[in-house]
Amino acid sequence: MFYVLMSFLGGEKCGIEITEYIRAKTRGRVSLGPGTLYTILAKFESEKMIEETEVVGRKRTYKLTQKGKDAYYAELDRLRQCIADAEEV
Amino acid sequence: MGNIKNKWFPFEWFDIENAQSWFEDCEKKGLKLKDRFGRIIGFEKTEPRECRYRIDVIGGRGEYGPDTSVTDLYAECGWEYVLTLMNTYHVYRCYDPEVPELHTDPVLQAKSMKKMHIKNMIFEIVEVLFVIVFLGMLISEFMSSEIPLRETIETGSVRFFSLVTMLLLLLPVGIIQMHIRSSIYHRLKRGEKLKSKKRYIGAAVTSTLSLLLLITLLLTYWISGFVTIANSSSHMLANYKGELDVICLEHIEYGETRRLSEMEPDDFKCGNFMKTDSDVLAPEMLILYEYGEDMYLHIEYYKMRYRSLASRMAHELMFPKDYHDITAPFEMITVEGADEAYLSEEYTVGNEIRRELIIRCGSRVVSVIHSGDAELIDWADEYAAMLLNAKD
Repeated sequence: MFYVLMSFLGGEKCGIEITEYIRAKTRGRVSLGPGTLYTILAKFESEKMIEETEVVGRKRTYKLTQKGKDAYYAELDRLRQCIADAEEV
Repeated sequence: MGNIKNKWFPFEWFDIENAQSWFEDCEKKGLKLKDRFGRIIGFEKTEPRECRYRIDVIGGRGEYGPDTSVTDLYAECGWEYVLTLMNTYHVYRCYDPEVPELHTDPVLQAKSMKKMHIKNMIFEIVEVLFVIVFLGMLISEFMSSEIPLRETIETGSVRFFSLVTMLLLLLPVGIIQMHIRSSIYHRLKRGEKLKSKKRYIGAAVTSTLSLLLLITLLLTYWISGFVTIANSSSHMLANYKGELDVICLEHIEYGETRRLSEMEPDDFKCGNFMKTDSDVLAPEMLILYEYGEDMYLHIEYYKMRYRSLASRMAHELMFPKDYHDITAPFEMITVEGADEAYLSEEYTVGNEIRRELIIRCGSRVVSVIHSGDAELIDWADEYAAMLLNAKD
């Protein structure tokens, strides 16, 4: 979910662009299937973290909302804190 | 048409793993999934190919398949929508092995199946309740029957055993279904991915056999129900020594004739059982009754193969029947030679007081209605003679 939010930081994206972004970003470590992606996008959309901007043929494009950005940075802080905690050990 | 091959879908609809593997194996044999009609799956004959088939529940229920928002996204990512099973299970395929799996996160997949899982749980509870109600009906049928249990089992053995077998079959089938459904959901929830099955013959045979057996038992139960009612009624009639109209009323209630079952006993003016000469016709099949101002001839048949015989008998009974207004003291009526005579109590039609005489010789019946003017005694002998002639 974190990577999906991250993918929108660079701008609007459609489904295939999101999966490609995540695969490239994680060097193939994380691969997102369309079923999984749809579940995540549907959840984000219902929680108003993303919104649909354009539908061209079969291609649907989404963008991050302010709430989505806030959620992303909150999660980023949480992860940073986790790493900091781990490094203290 | 020659390019299409139809196959029976041999699994439970929710048995996703086996169904996916089956579609993939069919594709390897050159059968490309095309469409379906009920449990008949249509395949197009093509070149054998490696292909991944996946069944998904995302996209809601609908006659026309999942939402376009889902199919669009899936298509964009390389998964082609094929068809929907039972309005719930959407089948997708992908020929490119490089394309990621449809679902890469089992936990999220389980989340998408949660609604369906709850729905199935409710269905299973209803199924159990259904079995309990059925069992209750069976017990109450035996408890409330005036016929001893042993005889009920003897006369209705097919129905009894089909019922018991059905109940005994429904429970394990329900448990197996519940296990398969829950197993898929809980494995996903634990983070385990769905497996590709190499052997699914067992699941296919079990599912198909249980379905066929269930249909056979339901049919047996339905058909044997008619036989049992006829047998029980014969038993009742054979042992009956009292008034005919009472039997008739009981019989009608037993036969669940809707129109008559709405009648109160007081409404029932006159009734008679017609024993026929033919052994083929069950004695309880024909009932003559009068209600209100109109005379009806009511034919009941409980064995479907007797339908034509029943209508023929109705025809025979209708034509020799005559109605006359006559007056006479009923005690003086003679019906010598007739097989049976029945005299009703007085009843009122409008301002008129009526009584009825029914005389039967063999399958011939005459009903004489008295309304206070003519000599019934003269007519009675005449009718008896007429009936005897007709019988000869």
